[in-house]
Amino acid sequence: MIGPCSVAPASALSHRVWSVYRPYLQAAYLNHGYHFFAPEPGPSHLVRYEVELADGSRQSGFFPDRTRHRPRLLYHRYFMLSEHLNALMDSGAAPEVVGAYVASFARRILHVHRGQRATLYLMRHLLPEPAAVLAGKPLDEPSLYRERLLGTFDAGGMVEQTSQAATAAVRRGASPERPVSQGVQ
Amino acid sequence: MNLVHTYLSEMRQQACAGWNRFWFTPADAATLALIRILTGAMLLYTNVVWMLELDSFFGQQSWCDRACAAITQPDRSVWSVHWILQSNGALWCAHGVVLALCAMLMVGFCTRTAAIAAWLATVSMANRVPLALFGLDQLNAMLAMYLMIGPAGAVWSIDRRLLDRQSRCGQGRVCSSVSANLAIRLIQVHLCVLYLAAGLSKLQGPSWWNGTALWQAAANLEYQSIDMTWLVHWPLLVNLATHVTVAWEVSYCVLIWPRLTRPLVLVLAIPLHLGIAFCLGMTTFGLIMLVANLAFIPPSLVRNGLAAIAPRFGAGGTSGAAPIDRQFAEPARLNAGPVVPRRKRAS
Repeated sequence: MIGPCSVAPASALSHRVWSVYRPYLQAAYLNHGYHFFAPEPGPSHLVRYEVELADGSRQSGFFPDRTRHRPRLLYHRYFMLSEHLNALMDSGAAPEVVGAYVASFARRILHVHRGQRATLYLMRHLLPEPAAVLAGKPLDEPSLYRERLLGTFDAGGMVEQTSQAATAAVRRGASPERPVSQGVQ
Repeated sequence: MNLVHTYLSEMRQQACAGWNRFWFTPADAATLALIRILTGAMLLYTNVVWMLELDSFFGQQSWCDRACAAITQPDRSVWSVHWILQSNGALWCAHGVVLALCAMLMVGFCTRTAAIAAWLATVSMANRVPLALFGLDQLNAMLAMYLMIGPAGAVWSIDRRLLDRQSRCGQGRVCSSVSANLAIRLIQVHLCVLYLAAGLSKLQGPSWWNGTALWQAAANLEYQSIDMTWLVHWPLLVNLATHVTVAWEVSYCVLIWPRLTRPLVLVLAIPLHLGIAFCLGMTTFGLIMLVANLAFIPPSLVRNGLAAIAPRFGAGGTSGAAPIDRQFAEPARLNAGPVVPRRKRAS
């Protein structure tokens, strides 16, 4: 009960009790809230990236990508990477923590593509209203996608445009989130 | 004053008796064994899928590398053996061992050791890649943990066969033990907490109140594995399904215990979890939730069900008067209910 009760919004008492049991809960991997699809199922999130290679050419991609990530469980692993990143940003996690994950994602992308620079974006795929679907709007309509810049990273892992800056901008209400000209599907 | 004293004393006695009866009555290990087979299979599949991109998630240049973990996971209680595995060779060797352990758990070979090792491996891997996890991993770790406690290899296992060969007794024997009951009870209570938390957390969201939450799930392209947008023509059905989901999750911890309502609750679990499995693309999660729900199926029903499907499993010794296998049995505790006397097997 302690794990679920400690998830925000939680009382000070819950937090006190949780802090006592935290080492055990974390060591045994029992520190869960079990908030499945709560408080709302909500929109989903993807990470889009553009990589600049040594010869000047560019490659792009995104994850999760159901055409590349198979079987479905593997797809879901990638899906959770982008979903958890968004959850961290929304939950007010420290910018250093968010930045560390984004930088790690960038290092991985640069390693796989043998790239020089990588720019990462967090894409939000909004859910269509039922009336729009009734009117024939497809689920992957480009107007349903928004994205925000996470940062640009070079091959050495040096951050040029920090994700902290983007995160802070979102918190200030000056969200750099913008529509995407094309969807990803 | 005497009346209050008598009331409190009686309450204490009954609470103690009920507590002991609930946790420490010896039980047949058939249900636990079935959960072991299915959880072992799920753990094996989970790790086969990890293997497809072992380097991406656990290697030096993984999605969450060492430099990232130094900032994001400063807490030392979030342990992982996988941080020690520096080279790809070591990582692959370790993963081979993990696969073997999961297979051992599934077939019930050195079951207790395999269960402990499989749980340690599951937690170690979970702590290594926290961002790539979801409900499946939570359930895998939870079930593996409780399988360590009970005699999960007491029936339908290689351990059982080896033991039978030594003692020349058959598979039909009932293996009752306190720890089998304890493990099953822990899974049951854990599930009650899980569903209550899942249900109550949904009550924070307006869409679970206005009945549109399942539409949001159905219209989510990234989750979707089957096109469920036809639901847009059935808004009242969406409302009903949303309300039933919340009501079922919130009431699970109460309605699962009375014999009258338990079948209804378990039957409702099937469409709910199969819906998650096949419509929202989380087949593994939906199935492992159903596996966990097996904890509420009586061992006699498990034996009869399996005997109907595969007669070689045998339904023998399902009655309460069946002999207890001493190899797996533990001494009955105080108020642990009647212990069935050992008697000769029918020839």
